[in-house]
Amino acid sequence: MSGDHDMVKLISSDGHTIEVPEDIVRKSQTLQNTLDDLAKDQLENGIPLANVTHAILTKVVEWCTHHKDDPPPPEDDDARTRRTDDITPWDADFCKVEQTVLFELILAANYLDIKGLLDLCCKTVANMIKGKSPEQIRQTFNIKNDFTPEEEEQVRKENEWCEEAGSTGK
Amino acid sequence: MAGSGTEKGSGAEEAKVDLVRALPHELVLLILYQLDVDDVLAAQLVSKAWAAAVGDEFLWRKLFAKHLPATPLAEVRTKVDGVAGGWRRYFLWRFKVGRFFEDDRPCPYARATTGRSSCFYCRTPIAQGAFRAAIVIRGVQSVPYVHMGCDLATRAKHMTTAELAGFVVPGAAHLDLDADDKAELGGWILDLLDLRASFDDAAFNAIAKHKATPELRRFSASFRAVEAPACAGITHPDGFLGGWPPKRTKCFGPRIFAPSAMNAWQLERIFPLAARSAWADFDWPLEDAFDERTNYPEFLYLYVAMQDLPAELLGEIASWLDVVELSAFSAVCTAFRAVAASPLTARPVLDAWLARDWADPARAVSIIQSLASAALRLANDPESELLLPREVAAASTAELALTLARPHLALPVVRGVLGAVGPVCSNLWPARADHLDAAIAEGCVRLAAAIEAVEARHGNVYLMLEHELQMARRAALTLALGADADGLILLVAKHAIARVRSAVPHAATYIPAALGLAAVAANAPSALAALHHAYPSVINSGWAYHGYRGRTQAMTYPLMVAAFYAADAAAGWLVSIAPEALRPALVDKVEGRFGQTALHVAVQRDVAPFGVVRTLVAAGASTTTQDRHGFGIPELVRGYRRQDEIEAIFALLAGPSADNDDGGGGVAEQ
Repeated sequence: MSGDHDMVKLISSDGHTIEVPEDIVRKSQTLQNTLDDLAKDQLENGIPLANVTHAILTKVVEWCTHHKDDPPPPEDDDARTRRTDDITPWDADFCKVEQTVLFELILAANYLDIKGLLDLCCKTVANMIKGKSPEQIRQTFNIKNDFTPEEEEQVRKENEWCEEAGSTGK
Repeated sequence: MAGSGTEKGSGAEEAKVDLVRALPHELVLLILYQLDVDDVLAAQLVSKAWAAAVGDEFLWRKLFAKHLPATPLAEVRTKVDGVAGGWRRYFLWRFKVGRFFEDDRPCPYARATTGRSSCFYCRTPIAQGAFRAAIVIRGVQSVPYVHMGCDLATRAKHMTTAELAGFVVPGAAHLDLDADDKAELGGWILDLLDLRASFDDAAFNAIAKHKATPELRRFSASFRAVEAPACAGITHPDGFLGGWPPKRTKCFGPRIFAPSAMNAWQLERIFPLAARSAWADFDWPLEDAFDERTNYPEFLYLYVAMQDLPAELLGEIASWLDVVELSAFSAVCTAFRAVAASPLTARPVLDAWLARDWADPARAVSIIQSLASAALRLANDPESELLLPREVAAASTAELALTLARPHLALPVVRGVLGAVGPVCSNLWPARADHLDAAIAEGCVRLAAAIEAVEARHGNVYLMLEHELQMARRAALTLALGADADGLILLVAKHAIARVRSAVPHAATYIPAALGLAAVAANAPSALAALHHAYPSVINSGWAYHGYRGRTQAMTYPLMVAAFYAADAAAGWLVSIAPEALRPALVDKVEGRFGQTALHVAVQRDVAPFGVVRTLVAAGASTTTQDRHGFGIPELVRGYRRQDEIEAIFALLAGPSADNDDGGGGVAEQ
């Protein structure tokens, strides 16, 4: 913690330290709990974030800074996740990153418990899947189809009318 | 944006990562949860790892809550817990059914023939009706249309009794419900409505039993038969239940037959209608029906009197009905009548009309016109998804009017229908005010052609559409013959045959015969002659459709029809075109279905001055032949005729020969 009570030191997994305003840090539920639980002197040396690299932490801080005035996301799961087409242009631009970065952002948002960011990143990934055929999804994420034709046909049949022999236990 | 070097590069190829392998399972589920169901199912096909992720029951439980929020999860849990893949399977089933109805609204339609009859036992006037109802569902998968329907025939009893013989398209489910003590219904059996909540649960339970017939699950509708009281002295449909005298039940509210073993909460969930009524009465074990008809798990036979239902529900039901159904619902339920009064104000009037045995021609015309207008409003509703809505509405209305009409009403009623329905066809035919009948005829031809085209594309709707096709032809023919327009009937035949031939070649041969029989029944020899001139198969191959071989045999049935309808001119024409040497064989042929000769029929049915009898006798018909019951001409005459008619007919039967050989070849009245 710096001398200014509004700034908090965050130490990334690769050893970089960045100072972030406390109100920005409190966008993270994990860090908010940390701030509330630890004494002031315990924060002097910064909060180590073992699962977040400097690059990702910078992106997270960037997002939190932009959304610092946003109201808390609703607790209602459905209301939060029902739509994936409500991403703001800034957020969409923010998420125009490599897939590896996007997944690391998801991991970081989950670790830091930043619901809004986690929601945004999941929606972005979901939008990469939506409306695509299995083959297109494979191409999007460079996935090898390891189904045999028979297995694939079986899954298709199950999808069609959800009919599984013996699966009702009868 | 922070210049952290994390932005997607514009030049180098982007690194792609399998998210299922890159992210923890719970985060993968969180992403999948954002997807629509179709996307989730597509994701299942990406790879085995993705399939495993999608197969997580937690995901499907979450999807259940997301997409089917109205379903109490606690209740679902009792159904699916302990069942492998239960949440996924149940969700998919419920979701698909829900979407099915959302995208593909079942279109119930019905057609009724009604009449007045007398009780077989006490001669009390009763209403008698035959009803055919069906649901057309636009399929969501490979079958473009699914049809489910049933024909309800009536029997003469103090209450009319329903005998349901349902059918559906070949290759799909078959529906059959025989009347029995429990299922006896009175009055007019009307309508088949969607009860999706009851159906989907029952169908889900039946999946394991009937997995070999997945088509069954497209029938996302169950039947609710609502009967309309039509017999004098019965003021409520409950009166039709339980035999005669009517069993008075303890209540007059919705009456629902439901599985007896169900718990109260199950009933409330499955039968929301019941849950809304304090008088719900569950006394028919539906499970019995399932057990007995294991091929038809979707069939829930429910009887619901429409009393005491919320107005909004009645309004919703009203929006589903066609004109015939609407009439019946209005008859059974005053509340419904009020709802149905707008915009279909003709309905209560029609009820009153039916109650008075449609005795007033002027009033009948007015009612029919209103009825047809209402049908048009329904048909023109942009939200209407009726199959061929405009044409069906036109033809249905014409059919209704023609069926309901008594002979003395036929012309004004038909004119009334034409006035209202004609505009439907105005875009098909350059209709002028004095050519509406031509327009409607053309419209019916269009209907026939459209139906045949649909049949050609989707053979599985044939059974359903055959009825519509016949109806259209009959309506067109009736109109054409009513106008005595030989040219018009040829026009109808020409169009119908040309279009049907292009669509369904084998069906085209059937049209001349159908037209010919209609012309015979209408006693229209000029139309018959015109038809025969244009289509010799009217006499030859066309009537062979009915199973008769050879020219004389092919003419036997039309001659019987002529005798039956006292169509003297048509009978004369038929006899006249038969080769002279073959006439005795023609007139003495015992027709298979009648089991009688034409003369047998004529002496029972002909009307003064007995032109058919005269024609047949002149053609050499035998007066000594017995019918298949052993009755001869004299017995039939005395059994079916008044004294003055007996004398007249015997005089005709004695004929010229009585004068010549002292009655040796005639029939002497005993």
